[in-house]
Amino acid sequence: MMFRRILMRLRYWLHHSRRDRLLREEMEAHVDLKAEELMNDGMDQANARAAAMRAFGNILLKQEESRETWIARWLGDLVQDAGYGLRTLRKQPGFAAVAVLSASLGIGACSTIFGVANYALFHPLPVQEGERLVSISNRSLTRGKVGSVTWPDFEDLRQARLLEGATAFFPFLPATIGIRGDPQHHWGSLVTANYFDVVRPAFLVGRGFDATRDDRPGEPVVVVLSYRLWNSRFAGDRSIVGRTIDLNGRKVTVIGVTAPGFRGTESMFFSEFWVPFSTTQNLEQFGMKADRLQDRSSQWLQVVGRLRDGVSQQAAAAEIDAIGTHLRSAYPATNKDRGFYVERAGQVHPGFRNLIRLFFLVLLGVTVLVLLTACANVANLLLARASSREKEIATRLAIGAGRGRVVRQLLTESLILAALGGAGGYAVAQTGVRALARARVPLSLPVDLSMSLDYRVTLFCIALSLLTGVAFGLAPALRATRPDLVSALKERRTNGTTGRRVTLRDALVVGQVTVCTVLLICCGLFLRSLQAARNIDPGFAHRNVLLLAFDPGLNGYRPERVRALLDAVTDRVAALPGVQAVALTSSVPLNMEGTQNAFVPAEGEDSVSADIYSVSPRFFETLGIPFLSGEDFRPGGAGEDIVVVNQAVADKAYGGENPTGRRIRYLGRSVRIAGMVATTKSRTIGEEPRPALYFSLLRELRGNDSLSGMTLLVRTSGDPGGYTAVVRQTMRDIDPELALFEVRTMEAQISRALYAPRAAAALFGIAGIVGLIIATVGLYGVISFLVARRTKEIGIRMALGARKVEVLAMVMWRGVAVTTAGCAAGLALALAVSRATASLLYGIHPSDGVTFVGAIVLLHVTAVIACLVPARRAASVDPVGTLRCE
Amino acid sequence: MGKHDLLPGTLDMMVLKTLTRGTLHGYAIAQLLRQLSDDVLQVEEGSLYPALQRLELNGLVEAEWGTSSTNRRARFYKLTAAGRKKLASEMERYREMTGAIARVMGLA
Repeated sequence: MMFRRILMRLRYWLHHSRRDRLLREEMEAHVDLKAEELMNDGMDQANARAAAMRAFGNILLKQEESRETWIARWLGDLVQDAGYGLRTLRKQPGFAAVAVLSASLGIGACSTIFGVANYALFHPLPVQEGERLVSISNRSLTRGKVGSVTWPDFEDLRQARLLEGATAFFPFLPATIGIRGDPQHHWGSLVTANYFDVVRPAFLVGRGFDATRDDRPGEPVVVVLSYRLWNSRFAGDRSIVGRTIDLNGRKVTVIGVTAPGFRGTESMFFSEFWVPFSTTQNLEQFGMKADRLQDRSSQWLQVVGRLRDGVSQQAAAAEIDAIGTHLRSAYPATNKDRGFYVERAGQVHPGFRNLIRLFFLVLLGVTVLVLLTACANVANLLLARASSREKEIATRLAIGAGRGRVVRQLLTESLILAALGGAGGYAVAQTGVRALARARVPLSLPVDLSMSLDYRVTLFCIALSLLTGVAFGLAPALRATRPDLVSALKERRTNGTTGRRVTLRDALVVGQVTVCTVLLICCGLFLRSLQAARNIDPGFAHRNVLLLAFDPGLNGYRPERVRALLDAVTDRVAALPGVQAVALTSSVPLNMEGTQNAFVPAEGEDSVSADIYSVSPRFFETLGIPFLSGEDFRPGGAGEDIVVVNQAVADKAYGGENPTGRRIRYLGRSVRIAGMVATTKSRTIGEEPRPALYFSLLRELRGNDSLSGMTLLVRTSGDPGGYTAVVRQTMRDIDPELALFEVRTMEAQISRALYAPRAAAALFGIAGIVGLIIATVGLYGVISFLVARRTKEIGIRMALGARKVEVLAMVMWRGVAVTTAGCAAGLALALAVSRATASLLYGIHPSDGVTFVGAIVLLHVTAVIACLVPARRAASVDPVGTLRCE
Repeated sequence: MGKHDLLPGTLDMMVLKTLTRGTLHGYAIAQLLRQLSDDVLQVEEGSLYPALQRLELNGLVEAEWGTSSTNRRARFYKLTAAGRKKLASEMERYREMTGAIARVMGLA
């Protein structure tokens, strides 16, 4: 019954024009009958007809009421409103374009950020029943820091009864994979052999590890490749399964390739291959010390567990907590304040979470500001339009349209704008996400930002469009339907510029200018910071230096063979024509990563923390770091255990006295200070002088457990980039299996060190420029509108003798006043923001005068330009014409 | 004696009641309502049509085009079985209501 009724209503509605006609006919027949009857009673025709009409009531209204019973009225109204809205927008393409563009930019920016956050936070792992996977980390009970797990703790964790299985892995395993003499550097994971049983990704070909066999000593070493690695390095060759490939100079057998999309369980990091371990033999093969499997203090593993079917995460967390309690009492020495932390797997690595969170917060803050300015703009445009349609709206209200009905119609228009803006925003978001995915983060870690938009982003876009549509449409709509009818109908008020209508519009523009000021000042500060950073002296000669990183340990070099390799490399590269000096170092200055450790300057004194470098002889010469006293390491590295310190060590640990010749205690060794060099920038361009200790690389090579190997520094005459090919070839001649990674010039390295301020400057720059465009359009709109409304007043003024210049000044003054108000508010905000970001700024004061004054000048110049057109229009008002036409 | 507006919700019921007399067009219904109430009930005749549309949509009346006694094209309404049932229940409800109101007003 219900269903039939709905169908009937729909049919009525579909045929509503015909039904309308018939209903009308029926009603008219009624009136005619009545009139006829009255005439029969002796009334004349005109009177009879009038009386019949009177008795009937308002035909139109009755018709409307009847129609209402056919279908919920709003549906018909909606179609009508949408049609009307579209027609009005088409008649004002300029207005529509500006509004839609503003909304697109705002919605697009927000959706991009949402898309990234969504991917990082919610992207489901492409594995079977991924919701049952949990990631288990250590948590420090005192500091709350979340981190990796030790092997002995993992052995206890995997006993948890509520877990079907648990796997431990080390996700940052660097390796060299060689294919026909083309060795390349890749990142993989070292995993327990049950990894694929626990995680269960889909396989393209082959299989995962056999937990009972694949990590036993004596079995052949096997590897699983990711789709990405298989596709890029092995050209998607399915017959690869069962064959051996060259991994770190050893033959390993490929047993499977995972399906596309699977990149490991860590969000934002990727794994290109997986090798099994759990025996000391496998560990050593990958350059790790075997005693890590007994060490209760070495936290290096990520743990992922699979919950038993039907077990909740809370229940498992409780059991795992109990294991943590047990471990605390059983091993107080190492586990004293260590607990466990259980969460859904596939999230951002806990060590980076705060950083990522901060990153998203800053991004979100900036984009919300942009969206707000965009909304203000559209609201302003709508307000302006509503005011100019005052008469139309007043007429509609006067002939009986309900206020709600008119508000709804105006809202429909703003929603159409917002919907178009949302569609544009989605396109912007797609471009934005793609651009972000291409961004290379300058860390030597396997970071992967590639991502896609899913239905959540689409929903977000739609929701945001609706929200902005209502947000920027409601106030203008309510305002427009409120005028007092009589005066609006009679004539426009001549002094329409006074009164509250303008205050709201002005306030919106002031708000836009405020936001714009903040964004521009932030951008300016970072740009100035970059400029300052470029001009500072890193403390070493950074031009004409080529850097090549390699890791002999990955290629199976034993320490005794490494020395021969390094000798060959330095000798042969140094012999190349144009090469002035060659050196090796464990870490490169301004790399943002590196070892830091404490040393004791003299027996009984407090230890001092310093950056630790292991360098070859001629390192200081190659980088042009001057010796202040003492001498360099001798070739060969044999003999006494010595260290070179920098000036900062003398200042921090020895009260500024030259410590050459004294002895320090470092890692239990007594080391003689052989020399002192000038202080260079070590981690970041903006840092205060940091103490650094330089040890002999050749001495330190024994038992080197380092992650990123070493870097060859080549000082060249002329552009170092031109030497890349010949140095590569020389290295290949020495060992064709040796992978070179991160080949770059020192200048590129330094500009990488400026990544954070550059990214910030770019972000604020883009946001600032978008904001500026939006605010300019807003200001232009407000002033144009003002001029249009005051045409008559201006005409009178000019008729009474006002000069063109005065009119021009009057209009311009208005625009400048609004801008100045916005700037003032923006300055106050920007001061607060720049204080907060002071740690990211180098070489300038957070309230840098040039930036602040520059932003104010830029805004005012833009404001003047935006006002110039309408102001000239005002000045060219023809007084006679205006007055006559009114 | 003045003229009174209808009690809300009673128009539908009265329209159904008039149709128990047979098939009628809109004007005839209006006439009948006026005559039966001795001109007391003041119905804007046009209000009949939304009511008729509503009744038709809910399947309480059926309508078809025909010719009036004066040879005019008119739409004739007829009570359906559902309409009869509805009328009976409405009248029952109405009786209860007026009885109750009369008792409260001390007229019973």
